[in-house]
Amino acid sequence: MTRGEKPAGAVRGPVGLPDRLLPILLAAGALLTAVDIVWAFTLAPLVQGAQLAEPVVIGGVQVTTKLLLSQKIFYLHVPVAIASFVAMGFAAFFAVRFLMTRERAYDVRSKTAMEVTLVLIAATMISGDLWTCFEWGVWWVWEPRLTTYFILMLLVIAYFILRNAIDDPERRARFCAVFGIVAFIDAPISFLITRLVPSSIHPVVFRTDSGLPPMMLIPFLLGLFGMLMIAFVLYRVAWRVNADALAVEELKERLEEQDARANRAAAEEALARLQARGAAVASGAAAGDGAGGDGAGASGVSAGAPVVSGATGSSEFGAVSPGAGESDRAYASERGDAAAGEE
Amino acid sequence: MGRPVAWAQYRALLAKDLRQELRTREMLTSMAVYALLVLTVYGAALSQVGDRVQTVSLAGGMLWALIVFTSLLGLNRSFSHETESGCLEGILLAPVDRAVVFAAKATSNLIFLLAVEALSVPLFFLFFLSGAELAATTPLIAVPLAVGTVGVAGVGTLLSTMTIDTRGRDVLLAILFIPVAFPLLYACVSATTTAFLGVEGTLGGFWTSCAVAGAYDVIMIAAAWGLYEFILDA
Repeated sequence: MTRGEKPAGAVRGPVGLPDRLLPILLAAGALLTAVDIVWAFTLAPLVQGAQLAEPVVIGGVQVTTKLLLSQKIFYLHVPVAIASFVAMGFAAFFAVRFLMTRERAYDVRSKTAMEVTLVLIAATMISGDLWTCFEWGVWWVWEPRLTTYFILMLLVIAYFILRNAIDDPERRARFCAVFGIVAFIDAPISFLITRLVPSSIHPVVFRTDSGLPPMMLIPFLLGLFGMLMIAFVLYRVAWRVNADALAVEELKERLEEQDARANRAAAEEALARLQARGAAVASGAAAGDGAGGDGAGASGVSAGAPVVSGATGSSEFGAVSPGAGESDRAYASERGDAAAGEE
Repeated sequence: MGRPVAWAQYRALLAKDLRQELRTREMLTSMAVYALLVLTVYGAALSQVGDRVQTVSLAGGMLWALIVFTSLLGLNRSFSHETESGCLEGILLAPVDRAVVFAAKATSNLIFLLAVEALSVPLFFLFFLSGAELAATTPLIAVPLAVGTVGVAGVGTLLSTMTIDTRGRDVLLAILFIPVAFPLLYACVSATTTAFLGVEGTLGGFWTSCAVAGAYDVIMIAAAWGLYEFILDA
């Protein structure tokens, strides 16, 4: 245990943001995301999609391109995906910090960030798949962006399988930190692949020269910040749970340690008391040697010897005198010499 | 620690691995037999398609699936005798740089993987491509094979060290290894298929894929080299 002697509360480390601000932050994030969604469906213009084979008349207007309602997913899908990359970046960052400092608290942070990543990745996959099905007509294609993101999901799942496969907490933290760093190498690949591979049919959306009109850019940015806030609150809440779990675990370990120490101390004390008592009895027996016993001294001991009990009458054979306590008897049966001292 | 010392340690560790393998032939035998079995499964999988499918266009992917599965088996075995006789503890007690241990282990894994490929790739040609018309660029598959095997050995050494003492380590290595090695696999399959098909003007794509695989090798082996210290320091 690396932090054995510190108070349990120290596991959480310095708290940057008071916990009472979390609900406010969560509400703000939810509000921003809601504004993003409402804006996306009301104010943001529809996007011109693919060229139609022949001009058609819709609502009295002749159109040559299809207006894409499905593009609305952009306002939700992209913020969630970006938040997942950010969360995974933090997981890798805390993994590096753990390897540098070996503080278990960083392992908890890294694990928590990875949990948030998994949630966000699942949300991205679901929203993306809905769009893929609607727009491309298939549930899945092995397209570079989809493939690398799918691999990212597998890596995060593998991270948790690795966590569960190792029992020793110290080794688990080390190995998971190393794997988290190796896994993170895929995140920039996945982020950049639509830019690197020209054949990718996944749209490139997050760029500075995108030329999004303000009516589209504003809700997108609102959604992005809202989603990042929600991800942060998720992280903080999950981190509190995990840090408390770690604190409980460490307290339990310390309690067991203290318990063992107290037990040992009590046993030693009982032993000392009995030894003192045995010595006292032995000296008493030696003093009244001729009084009634068969005259065995404190040193003359043989376990199987027939015992003629004196006034106290305690013997190895279990005839316990009213005066002899429970521990005295146990002690007597263990330590023949002390019992024999009474003979 | 001077360079000559590290070099001598590297050679000693590598020689130990090679000698051990030559005496037991544990890894090579199991990998070769396993490769043969995968080829047999391919035979069953493709037995009903007859001539309707051009095996050449599938060959790149099939070859790499064979290599990945065979490598997984070998990598799992590569550390088994290290733990059995407490050999790893002995190595770690000696004042050897962890990076040297990694380099030696990765090199011996690379040698074994290449040895098995030298056997299984000709068998693959014999079983599935003996009647096919091979493009003139086919010998170029040696490039992605070499680059890919280096990456597999590097990443595989790191991950198989991590999974030695875990519960269900055989499955765990696959779970960790396949996603991590996926970009490499993708690039190598792409390069190998391009070389097999040998279409005019696609050679640029071939070299691009090889370069991607090479970049992956560099990044991953650098990461593994740096992180190996944390894996071994018990």
